[in-house]
Amino acid sequence: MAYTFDWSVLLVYRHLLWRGLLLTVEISALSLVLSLVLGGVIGIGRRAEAASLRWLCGAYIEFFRNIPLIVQLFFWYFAVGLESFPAAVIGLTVYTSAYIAEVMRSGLQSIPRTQIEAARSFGMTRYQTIRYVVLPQALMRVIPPLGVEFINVIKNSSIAMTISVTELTFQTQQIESLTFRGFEAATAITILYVLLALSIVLLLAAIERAVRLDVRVG
Amino acid sequence: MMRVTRVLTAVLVLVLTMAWAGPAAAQESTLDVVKKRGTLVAGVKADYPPFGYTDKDGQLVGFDIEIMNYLAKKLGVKLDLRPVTSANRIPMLANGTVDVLAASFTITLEREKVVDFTIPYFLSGGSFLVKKGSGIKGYASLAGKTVTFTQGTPWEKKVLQEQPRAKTLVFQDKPQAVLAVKQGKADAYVDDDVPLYLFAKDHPELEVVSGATAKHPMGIAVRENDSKWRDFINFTLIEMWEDGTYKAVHRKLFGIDPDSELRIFPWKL
Amino acid sequence: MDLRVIVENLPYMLTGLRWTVILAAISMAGSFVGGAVFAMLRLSPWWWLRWPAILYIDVVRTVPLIMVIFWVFFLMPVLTGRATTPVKAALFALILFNTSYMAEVIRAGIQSIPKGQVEAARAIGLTHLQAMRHVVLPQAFRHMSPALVSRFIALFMGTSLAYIIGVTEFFRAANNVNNRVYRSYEIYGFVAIVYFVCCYALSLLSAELQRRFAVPDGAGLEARGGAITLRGGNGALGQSRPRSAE
Repeated sequence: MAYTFDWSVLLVYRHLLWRGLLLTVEISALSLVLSLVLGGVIGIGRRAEAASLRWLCGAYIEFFRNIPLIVQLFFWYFAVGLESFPAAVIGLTVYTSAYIAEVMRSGLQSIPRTQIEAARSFGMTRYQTIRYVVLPQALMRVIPPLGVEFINVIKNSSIAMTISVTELTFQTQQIESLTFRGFEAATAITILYVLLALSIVLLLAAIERAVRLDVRVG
Repeated sequence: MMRVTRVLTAVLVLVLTMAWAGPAAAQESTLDVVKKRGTLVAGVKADYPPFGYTDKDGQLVGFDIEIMNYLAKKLGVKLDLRPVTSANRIPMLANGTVDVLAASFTITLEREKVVDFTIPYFLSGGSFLVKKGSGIKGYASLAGKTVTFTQGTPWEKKVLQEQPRAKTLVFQDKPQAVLAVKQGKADAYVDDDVPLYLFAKDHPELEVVSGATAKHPMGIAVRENDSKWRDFINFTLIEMWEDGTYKAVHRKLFGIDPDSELRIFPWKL
Repeated sequence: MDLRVIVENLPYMLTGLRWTVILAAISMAGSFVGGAVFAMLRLSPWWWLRWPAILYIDVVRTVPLIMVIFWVFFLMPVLTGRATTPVKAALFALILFNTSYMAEVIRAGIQSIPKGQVEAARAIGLTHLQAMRHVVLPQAFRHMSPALVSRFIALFMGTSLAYIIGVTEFFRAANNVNNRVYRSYEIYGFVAIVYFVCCYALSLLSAELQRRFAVPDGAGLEARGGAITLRGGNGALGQSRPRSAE
């Protein structure tokens, strides 16, 4: 089969690409914000004093990390019956929050006890210790792996195509089924994903620089 | 910054290399390939009764499968069935994964440009699968409603032409589209009428409303420029019609005789 | 709750599960080899070997697995000029994708062995090759083992995406069943539980390996997830357990 390349289909269908890009960004951004909050709470809960809370958070983390995202999305969409967009956002959020919780937990864990002890021996209250000693350092440590999770969210959003979310990967198939030029479509969309990931990397580098100015990681 | 330029260069290099990727070597006719191999690899549907679906034992059965059985017997080779979806059937054929597609494939102009169709072997109209009592009678009543299809079918274009104010929902598998109508996520599912009738039989709360499209022909698809192979299949279809097998199979699977407008002409004067 | 649907279709779905295991195992083996190759390239002193390896590792991890699968599916026959089956395409895609992660894991593993070990080995008369084979690699392997299991888990879950190109692994098998019986709660619930049991068990293994072969976070590299390697972060050898799913 001789394959003649026809890149013009990308121009003709650029509105599909644009729509896909918008949707990918929408879902990713929304899920990211929500899972940061949810994951943060659960990650902190994992280090709580109450053993039952620790166990509960641990169970949440293990459960949602060990089931493929596509299965979770199908469950929210076909079993629970949510609409595409909500199912995608909720599914992606729940899934990502489990990973973010782990990142948060290990970030908190990595602060040496000595820091806390020193702070307390200075007379700081629990709250002050957390606010001025633990959290800033934890934040610094947590930013790089969070960046990794950001990029993962963008990649994982591609799975939402299976529940009829018209994001980027869906558009690959769509353009393919309209023009039978799957290769050109896949190439263009791959490039878009790379660009998205790169922007996250740059963004994160900027954030790190900004935060770094106030904190000296001991 | 370094990393960014580095990665962008990589992607650029990759794309340029791909643009130079040569075409695949010219093939001998699929007919000879199949005969030599001793197996016919046929792409069929696995979720679209009665054309192609899996029965309780996980076996692929259906109208298209029966035709492929006939073809394989004619060739004197074994039959290897591969499940395809509307979305991936053309790539599966184009990239050589299957030798032939018998996948409830409607003949359209766009498709004819990338594959070669045999003579039509089935006539089917497009219909709407809706919830009973939904009041949907045709395109007019679909304004503002949600219509669903499976990816790779030609209905989306038609529906949006007739009813630009319809919203769409696209799935990978046909039963997922049926489920969407059942769950109220979509108001109508557009596809070929015969399978829709079968879906409606399994789901008493759904019914079929005809009139989405006029009757259109389905063809078996082969790769472009393979006359030897296409001719063989055409001759086989003619034989199947002439010796009565086609009518028998049709009656068995559909319960009725083939559409009166369909006739596979024996090409003899 | 109609559990009969699961019981009736169990044999068919378990056949799918067998394929999942096979796909994961073969991809793991294939990407281990590939990863070792690329790790060596990555560590090579010659820039013309090093840079392509770095490019490959960085770019492939930026793209979603589902896109890699599509890519391979559309591209493989064009390149090879021959037909391909969905299984082969899925395997190729999984190996292609996972190799980039494995390369990082292996590289971190090798770099986690202090230079002193090699020097000591040479000092007592072992050749470079013998030093690698008897001193460095066994230790590196032990250090890598938790991360390797982590990647296997990711692969195991990743096979579910082969559903899209028609490979009849566990998820597609379950889908085929659901497309006939329409019992989404039961079927997808069952699928979720099976995946959970398998992957959780493996993650316990990974944790146990980590406990035994804990390594100080010296490498400071990011191998378990994410696209572009970021400075700092948790160790490549999986010390803090989190791993990206794909």
